Amino acid sequence: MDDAHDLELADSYARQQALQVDRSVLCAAPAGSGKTELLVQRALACLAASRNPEETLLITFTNKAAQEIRERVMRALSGAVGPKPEAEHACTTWHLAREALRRDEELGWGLRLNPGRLRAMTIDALNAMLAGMAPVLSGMGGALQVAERPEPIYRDAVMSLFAELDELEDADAFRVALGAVLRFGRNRSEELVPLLSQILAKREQWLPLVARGEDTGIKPVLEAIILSRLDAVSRSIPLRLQGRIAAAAAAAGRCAGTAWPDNTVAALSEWQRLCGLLVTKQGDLRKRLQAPDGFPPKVAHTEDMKACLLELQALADPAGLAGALTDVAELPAPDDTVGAAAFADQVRAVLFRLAGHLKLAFMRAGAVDFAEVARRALDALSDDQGATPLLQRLDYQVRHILIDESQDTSSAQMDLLAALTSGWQPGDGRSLFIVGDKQQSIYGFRQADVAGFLALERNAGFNGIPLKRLQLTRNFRSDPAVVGWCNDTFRKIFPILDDPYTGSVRLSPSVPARAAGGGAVETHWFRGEPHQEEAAAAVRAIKEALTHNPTGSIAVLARYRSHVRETLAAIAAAGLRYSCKDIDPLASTPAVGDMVGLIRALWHEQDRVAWATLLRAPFVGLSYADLLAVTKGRTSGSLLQALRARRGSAEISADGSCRIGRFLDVLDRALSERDLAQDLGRLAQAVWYELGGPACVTAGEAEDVRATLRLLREHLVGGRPDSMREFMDALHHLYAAPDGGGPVQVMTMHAAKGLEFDTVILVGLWRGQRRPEPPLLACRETPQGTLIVPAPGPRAGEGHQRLFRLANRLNRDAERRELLRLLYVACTRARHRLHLMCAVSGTDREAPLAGSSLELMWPALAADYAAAGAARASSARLDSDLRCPVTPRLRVGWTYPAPQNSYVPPRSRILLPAELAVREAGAGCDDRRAHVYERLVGTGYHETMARLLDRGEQDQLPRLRESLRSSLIARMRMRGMPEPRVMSAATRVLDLVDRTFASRDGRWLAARRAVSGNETAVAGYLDGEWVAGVVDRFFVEPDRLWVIDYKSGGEGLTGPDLDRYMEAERGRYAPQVAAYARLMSELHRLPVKAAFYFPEAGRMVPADVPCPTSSEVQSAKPVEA
Amino acid sequence: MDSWKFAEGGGTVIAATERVARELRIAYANERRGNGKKAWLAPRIYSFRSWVRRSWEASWPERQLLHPAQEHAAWLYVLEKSGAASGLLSRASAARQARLAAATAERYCVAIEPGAFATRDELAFAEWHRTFEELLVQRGWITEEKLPRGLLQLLESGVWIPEPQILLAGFLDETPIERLMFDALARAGVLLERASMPLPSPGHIEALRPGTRRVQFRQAACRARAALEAAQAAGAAPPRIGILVPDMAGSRDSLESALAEFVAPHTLTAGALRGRVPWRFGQAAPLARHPTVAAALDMLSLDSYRNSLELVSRILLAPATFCAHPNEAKSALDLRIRKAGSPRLSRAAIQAHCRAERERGGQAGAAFAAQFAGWLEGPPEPERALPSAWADWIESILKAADWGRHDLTGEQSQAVDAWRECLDAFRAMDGQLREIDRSRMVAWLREVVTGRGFQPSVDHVQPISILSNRDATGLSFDELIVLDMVGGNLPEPAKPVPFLPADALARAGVPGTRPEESLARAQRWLDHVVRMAPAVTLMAPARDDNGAVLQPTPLYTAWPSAPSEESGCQSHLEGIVRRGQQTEQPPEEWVPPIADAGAEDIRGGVSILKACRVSPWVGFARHRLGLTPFPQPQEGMTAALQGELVHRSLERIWGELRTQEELRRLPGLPDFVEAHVRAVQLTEGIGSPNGFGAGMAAVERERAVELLVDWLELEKRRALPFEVVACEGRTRAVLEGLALDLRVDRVDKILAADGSNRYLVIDYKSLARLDRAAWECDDEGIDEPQLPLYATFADLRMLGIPRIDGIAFAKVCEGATDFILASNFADRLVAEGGTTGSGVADWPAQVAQWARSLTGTTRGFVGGDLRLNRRRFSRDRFSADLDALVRKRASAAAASSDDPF
Ligand code: SF4
Repeated sequence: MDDAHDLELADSYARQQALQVDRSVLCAAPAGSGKTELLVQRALACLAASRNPEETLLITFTNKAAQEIRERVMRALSGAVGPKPEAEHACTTWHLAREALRRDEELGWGLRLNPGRLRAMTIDALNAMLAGMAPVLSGMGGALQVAERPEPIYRDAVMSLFAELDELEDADAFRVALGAVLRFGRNRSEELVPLLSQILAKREQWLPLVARGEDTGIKPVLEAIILSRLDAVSRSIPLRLQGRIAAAAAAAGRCAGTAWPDNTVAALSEWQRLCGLLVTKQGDLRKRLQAPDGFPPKVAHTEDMKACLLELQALADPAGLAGALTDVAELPAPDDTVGAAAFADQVRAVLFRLAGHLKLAFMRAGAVDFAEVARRALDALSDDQGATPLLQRLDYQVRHILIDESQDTSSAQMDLLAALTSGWQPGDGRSLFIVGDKQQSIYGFRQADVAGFLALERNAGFNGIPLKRLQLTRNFRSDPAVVGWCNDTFRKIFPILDDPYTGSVRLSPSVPARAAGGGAVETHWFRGEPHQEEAAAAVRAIKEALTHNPTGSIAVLARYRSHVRETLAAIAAAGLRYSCKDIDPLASTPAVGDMVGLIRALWHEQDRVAWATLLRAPFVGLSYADLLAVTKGRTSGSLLQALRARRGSAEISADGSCRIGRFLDVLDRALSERDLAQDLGRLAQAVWYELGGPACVTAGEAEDVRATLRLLREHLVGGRPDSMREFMDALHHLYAAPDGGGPVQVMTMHAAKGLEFDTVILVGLWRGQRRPEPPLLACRETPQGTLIVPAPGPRAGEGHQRLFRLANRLNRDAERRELLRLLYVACTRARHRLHLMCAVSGTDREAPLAGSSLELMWPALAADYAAAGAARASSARLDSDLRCPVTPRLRVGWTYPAPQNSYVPPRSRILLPAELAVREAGAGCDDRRAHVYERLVGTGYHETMARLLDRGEQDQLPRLRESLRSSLIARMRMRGMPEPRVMSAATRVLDLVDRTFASRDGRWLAARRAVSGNETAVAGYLDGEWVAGVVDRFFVEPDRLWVIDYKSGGEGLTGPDLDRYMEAERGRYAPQVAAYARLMSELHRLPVKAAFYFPEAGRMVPADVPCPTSSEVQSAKPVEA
Repeated sequence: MDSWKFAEGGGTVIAATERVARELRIAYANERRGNGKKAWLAPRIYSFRSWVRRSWEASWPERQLLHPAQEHAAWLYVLEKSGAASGLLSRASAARQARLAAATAERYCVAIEPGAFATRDELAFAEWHRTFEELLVQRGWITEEKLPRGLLQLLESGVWIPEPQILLAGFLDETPIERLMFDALARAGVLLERASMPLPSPGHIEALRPGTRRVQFRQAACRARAALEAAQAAGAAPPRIGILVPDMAGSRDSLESALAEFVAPHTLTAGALRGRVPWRFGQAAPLARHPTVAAALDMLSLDSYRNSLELVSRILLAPATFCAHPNEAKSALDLRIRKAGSPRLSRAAIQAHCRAERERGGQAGAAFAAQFAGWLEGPPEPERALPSAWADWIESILKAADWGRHDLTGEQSQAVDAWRECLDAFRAMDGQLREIDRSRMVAWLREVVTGRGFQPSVDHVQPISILSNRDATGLSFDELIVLDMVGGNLPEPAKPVPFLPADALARAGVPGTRPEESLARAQRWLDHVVRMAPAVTLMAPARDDNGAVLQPTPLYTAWPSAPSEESGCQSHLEGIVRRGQQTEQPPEEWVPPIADAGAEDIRGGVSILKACRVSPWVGFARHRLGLTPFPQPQEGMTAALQGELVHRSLERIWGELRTQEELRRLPGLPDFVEAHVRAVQLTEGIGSPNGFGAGMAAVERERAVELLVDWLELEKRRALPFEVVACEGRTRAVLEGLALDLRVDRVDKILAADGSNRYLVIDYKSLARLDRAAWECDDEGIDEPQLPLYATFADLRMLGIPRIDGIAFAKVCEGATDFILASNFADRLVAEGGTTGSGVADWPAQVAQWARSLTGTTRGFVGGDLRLNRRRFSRDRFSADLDALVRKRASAAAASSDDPF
């Protein structure tokens, strides 16, 4: 109790200290310790000490967390306007918020109206912002798109790497290396893609080393590892024992020297002999000594050794010691790994080149991955000369940095933080607040490395900034019963010491802050594989929780999604409402499967499986017998054609004929609309609707189908899939979203991080895992560097094999330790009640299955199992029955109901002006299909004429010629006249203008007149139609309105050819000129005469159009133009 | 003053945006017609941009105005010459940003004085900017952003005389350059007036908090629908409805789907009304996305060396080209290419497939392949050419593919017209790009076509306008719905502008550079927005698409406290769904037994038994329905291909060697093997340099040789001397009336220990995990039925083999070469402890057991057995493509489900 009291005091003190913004803090905040509230408080305190709100930067792990923190800070600020709250911690927040608000008012920030000023973001967002601020410095060139799924880009890089094989000389060293790597993957480049992609994704770990030439291969890393392991053993065996053990071993003739060997690589074999004496092959501390090993009974050195062994057993952490000893015994000698090292060098050379290809692939894709942004952001902050001006500016702006979930930051992220704080001096008023819980570090596979956090703790500082270490202990979340259970259980299974080498962290226990309220932890024991029993027990637990508290939240958590399938089915069967998050892969739900069949069938007529899926889908509903009747004699080729050919065949049942008929009708109607047929997304949707897809799904499934179509649209370029394969891949990463509301939520343990629930039910803990196949390449990041070890081939030496085992063991151990932490996370989600579904193997050995989560918890739970008495036995699984797969099908008479409330917009004729009547009109050619030269010459002619006539410069051409020419050239270039023809085109325009003024007709139409206009845009509404156009030239002469249309073509034509051309143009443009004539006559109330003018011929030709006569325009009154 | 009156009086109206100008022109036209006018002069209503440009062009300038792509090309040219830009991941994007920065500087009158520039980016930009300016002068170019200044100069020098009366409409936040212009106009004596803003007082505001964004879009659609229905019921003209979004790219698809589903489901299905879409987007989608245009771009992207299968497939299957040919023919050629297994194709390889299709394909397929092959030959492609020359080439290429020729729909022909305009814009880049190669040509053309928006004009009313917040200023509506009014969007958070120093930007008042200014701007905007319509709905979803909390903008305070999850109306789809599933469970399914396998076109040999082993249903689906997996080409070598190479090599090798004795006598085994492998690669095209590249072929040869030498060393060690009496022999077996075609890898005649001859059938396998258990029988058949089938039903007399005394797997795989044997004379072929064992005790009983099992399996197949063993099915990785057909839920075995994310 006293202990608890001390811890409580320490906790209060820590919380106070955490709010001192004049110092930097490293705060360890275990689950339920109110970490977010503390962050909010610290942020408020920082704000109160800032000149600008932007000086405070909050870095969170997810975007969601950033939004939440911002929301809570803003809420605190709003609350500060109101009265002081009662609760103690709320009161602290209120005071801090008032201070921040006071600052806000003082400096006029307007933070409450402008929440965007509060900088809370993920490190990815920060990276993107930095890289975006410095396109050059970062080398990005601009804010490139960041690919959420970069796999296709990696793939592209890998493939272009292998394409190099063809380009290099046979003897080229790199080609040899590349060949070796390919051979290693059995020459199946496709199979190497996932492996190399993974390595590319982790390139932040190895690329900088390789690029700087600092990566010198396996040997140095291995030597460093050896030293660290020797060190670990030396540290765990007390000095006094060391001497005695060495002496006894020497007496037994098992060692060369009589003293404990030095911590040197050279002494490794000596070490290994010693360690071999202390542990068994199974990895346990040795208990018995044997004569053949040099320890005959009743001899002094045997007795002495026995005594030593007993003492070792009694040390604080015998399991840890055994592990360390085994490590040493198993270490490969550096000189023994030459074969592996040589190949590793080749791999390294290939990887380096691969990184180059990745850059090119990024360029091609116009997108990068998050790692690239991170690296580039770092480049933007520091270069060879140190801090860049960008950093200096930023440094000036950012004064307080708060980092959440710091246990899950990667080394690259730490580097960025180091750059951001590089200029900081103690006492300069800037502060760092790092909060995290190493016990909850569960993102190792995303390059998060708990070692970083351990280093912060060990050094009590970061990048030269001293960090005050604080430890929170009070748990505000869980009932004392739950807290106590977690303390007891995890204390027994967490490592005793922190160790960055193995990635292990120890447990810091919590003190319950809540009063006891009937909370409890319950283990449910089964024997065998309790697939059905677990599900049933989970349902019972849910029901019990609901009776207890109908609105309390309940979570069912599992390590993997596949572990909740049976439970999910049972929950649904029990009629309980639930929602799940990322549990059900979308692609595997029948409704989506049918939709995908439809999409693929419409995409490719020869995809028979897709067509069969479509024909069997409920909304088509063909029976197998009918389907067989269709494919009979046509087991290859297009199923659609088979269907067409067999339509109406007597072999098909009446029901089938009906279905086939309806299907083909719907399909053909859709395909006949070419706009629709061009767009796979719309087409699939249209066909799905009309076939009755909606009548075959539930509301939840309809949502899934919508999501599928949305994803498809994202993958369409111009209505066709950019890559069907990528669409399918992406689909497999989408999850159905049954959101039934209600208090029950089903999710993975990872997804539950940061959440809390009244009741938590852990399922699947007992599920074993097959040992994964050893990877082709084992990569392990160690504090000493990256170890890359290829899998040993059949001829590999012992050293290589040991090395490979070492790397794999390190990885496996790290995974196991992470799994422990994951279980800690899962258990600590519970506020009130925690249920664990456990089982021991059905065979005689009473222990959990190998590889299960429970296996890790067994040391703590074995006693509980023993106390629980008999466990219930499991029944056999029921899924091996043999039946024909059936599909429900739509009632045969179903027809698509016409939509009732569809808004069909009316034709616009009456309501709105047509597009042509409102768009901004300009002078120019109106034949879009003519060749560009003619068009642009035409436009140039129109413009030049307008320009001369508008300004009354009919006779100024000689003077203006050169400036007009220059301007024409510029215009032609802008509009797309091929460069080689620009000059001649300009000349041609001027030539046409010359011809115009040289011809009698031309001079007449160009003459100055009182009422005239050039390139006049007119519009109107005639006989229920909107009309509009540009009249090249009009004038009143003498009582008629002349409407002239220029036709500038016919270059080079003479005689009858020219006549034919003019005749053709007259015919072609007659309707258009007629419309203009009507408009102009309405506008000017004058009889109109329309004509074409052909500058090539210098002739004006009357247009053959019914021109309004003067009788139609009675009140003729000229209008000023 | 009303803008139309002003325009009617001959005044010029300058609108803040093109959109406002357009609205005013519509109002003008309506007003004219309403007044009974039949014709009128187009009013002088322009956007500021277009007014500036017109006025500038009217002075007949000698400088060439660059269009956006030309300007981009010029920037890129500058960057490419500069050292600072070398090694950038995306120079194009840097050029775009630089252009944007320069434009911002012009618009906001930010002086680019290197003195104030400090970061490497700013300095680099200052240098580029200088080079760019020099380039403009040198080449006589001018950019659009510079036109206002150019015009001001013309005004000063008296070259340009502005209109006497100008009305300014829709300006909410004038930029400095606009202000400069208006001030100068006023000084020059122009009568400047400002049109009043839409409504004098705010409309009726309703604030909603939808639970999620998805709900938000549905609520917005329901609102719009209610307004349209109300007007319809009242017989009134459709109301003008505005929907504003802050981020068009992130809302477009969701909003459009919601509108389609909730407002206009008739647009979702085929029919005459499908095109009657009642909404219009303020920003047109890029032309490049139009199917017709995308098809054109695809065709131009085809190069002669390495094309992805996806590209080739898109070209082949595009409905917009080769329209005379049925889809069946196009997809048949595509399938042929897929089956060949290579995901990268040279032009020559495609040609070869076309030839094959012409020779072996159906009639329609052959006709299409012929035209396609002709198209591939195409007009000769220049190595490098000016854009204008490329443009001519492009036209001929497209014409040869019937592109844009067949009776186009209205929308398609509008797209083709727009494409032609883009080709002109591309032609105009001769001066910027000079001679370029094909890939640059495609890239630049894509740039032009992506930059060009495309929105077909329609002849029906589109009462719903969907606009970005920025585009909406100055407009008015009957009903306005403003979406995503969350704190993160309003006020807009500060966005860093690279290249220009932040303090200079802030001083110049560039939006988003100073928080105080953003706040003021946002307040102004909101105040303006609520006056744009008599009824305004503000929406702020409570959560984003990833479930993160969103706060409503604090600029508006009367938000409801609890979010709502209801859409507010029911869509047609929901209506159907809510009526309940209209499905029924069919009666027990059955199919007739096989009467005549030939007539049913049933193909296959052992594969039938293997499929039936997975489940009788699989046998039925694969072999009676003909549901073969759709081929998915893979990069590089595949296991199947490698197996084939080994098979064929061994066939050749034993064809030459015949006996173990000869093998043992052979000198230089590796060279001997190498020669054979090489021959298989070259003469039979398996893993050949042609298909996989010389490098890959060589590496694969090395592998195969090493493996085969290992293997032959093992054969040398076999204890009983043997002679190979048959290789790759074809034969058949008849079970239950079903004839199965078989291929025997090899038969050895072995001299047994007792001096008798024994016949052993051998099957090469490359699977390491294979043992005798594969031949064990249970109720559902045999895992590896092939060899037992040879030992029982195969007619080997056709191959001259009198009987079978044993079967063996020859495991030819790296690191695990071995024989697995079952025979009546030995347990092993390679002696262990000096003996090979004596074989299966009761061989005839074993054979009889196999026969029973195989008969049983075949009987099920022939009889129409449709049962499925779900467990076995989900474990079989070759059956995954049939998942949807058996309605399989996610399997625990699937790798992806073991991933917690
Ligand atoms: S004659 Fe007129 S319409 Fe024909 S190409 Fe020339 S400008 Fe165009």
